[in-house]
Amino acid sequence: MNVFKAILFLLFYFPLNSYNQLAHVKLAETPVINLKRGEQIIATIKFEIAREFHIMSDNPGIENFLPTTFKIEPVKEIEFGKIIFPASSTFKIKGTEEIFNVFDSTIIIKIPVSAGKKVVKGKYESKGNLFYQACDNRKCYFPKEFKFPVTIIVK
Amino acid sequence: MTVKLFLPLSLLFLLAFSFSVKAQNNSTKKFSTMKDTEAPSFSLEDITGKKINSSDYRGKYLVIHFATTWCPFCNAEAPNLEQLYKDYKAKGVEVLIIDVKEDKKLVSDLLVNKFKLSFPVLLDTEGKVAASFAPDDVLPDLARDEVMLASNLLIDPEGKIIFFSLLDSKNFDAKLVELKRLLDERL
Repeated sequence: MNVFKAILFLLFYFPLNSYNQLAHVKLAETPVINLKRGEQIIATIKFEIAREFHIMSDNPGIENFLPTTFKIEPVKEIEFGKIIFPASSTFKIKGTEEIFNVFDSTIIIKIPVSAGKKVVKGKYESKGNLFYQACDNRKCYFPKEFKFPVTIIVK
Repeated sequence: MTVKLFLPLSLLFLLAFSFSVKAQNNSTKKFSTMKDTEAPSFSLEDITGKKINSSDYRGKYLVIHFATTWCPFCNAEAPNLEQLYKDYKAKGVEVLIIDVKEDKKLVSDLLVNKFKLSFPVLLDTEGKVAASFAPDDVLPDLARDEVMLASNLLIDPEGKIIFFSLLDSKNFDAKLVELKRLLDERL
């Protein structure tokens, strides 16, 4: 490793890393969806939820709470189906009886994607938008939108 | 990487790590300075449209909880705040919820009616009052109004903050045990 880069890394990694805990959700990897013309696949997008945080599931189980939703921007000749969320875990606030459903750690959402038979081969850009409301074991945070690019490659 | 670089890089590693720990501890350090300071004044409408001023509560102990309808901690606390209000009102203790950035109907349906709250629930529609209570150096990356969500404060009859549960609790105190202990000491 270049010495200069190593010094910069050490100086900035830990302070930045401590503040990054406030970014509750991030992508595990940049989403790239590969499929052939006329094909239907189930694409996956993997998110990492910051340690000690959780976000509401797609069905929190309590009327007031804000469910996590995911939207993907339409692309001509490419069809996105209904989003499939993973199983959730439960969370109970100490001293209360209320139990609700949350996502924590890592979540993988599945998206049925199909390309029309006449779609031109090539690279298409779309945008994903994860809406979530995060909490830790002490407090909750305003709901947020996490927007990111999604690349679709039709072969 | 050569062996002779090991020592300086190790020192840099320790230096960077100490910065990291310092950044994480800032919130705890700043918190202690909030107690015994003058509470910011405010004037907000409650869900009935009535104007409520902080000065109305001079001479009384005032419990303030910052909430939103979607906040599980706030929901968990709501029935306990109502009970605290019933138990301590005769002793000169008032309770307020300041709802942050939500509309009147939502707050009315999902907070006041749901939990049958008999004390005033105020609407801080722009989050400015919540922000005015947030210590500057706590979670500097967050919007100031966000810092205050699910926090509890106790203001004494002279207008000083004497309890401020912001990021200092190891565990969430839904039953308001610490707050009630302090009230019992004072009353």
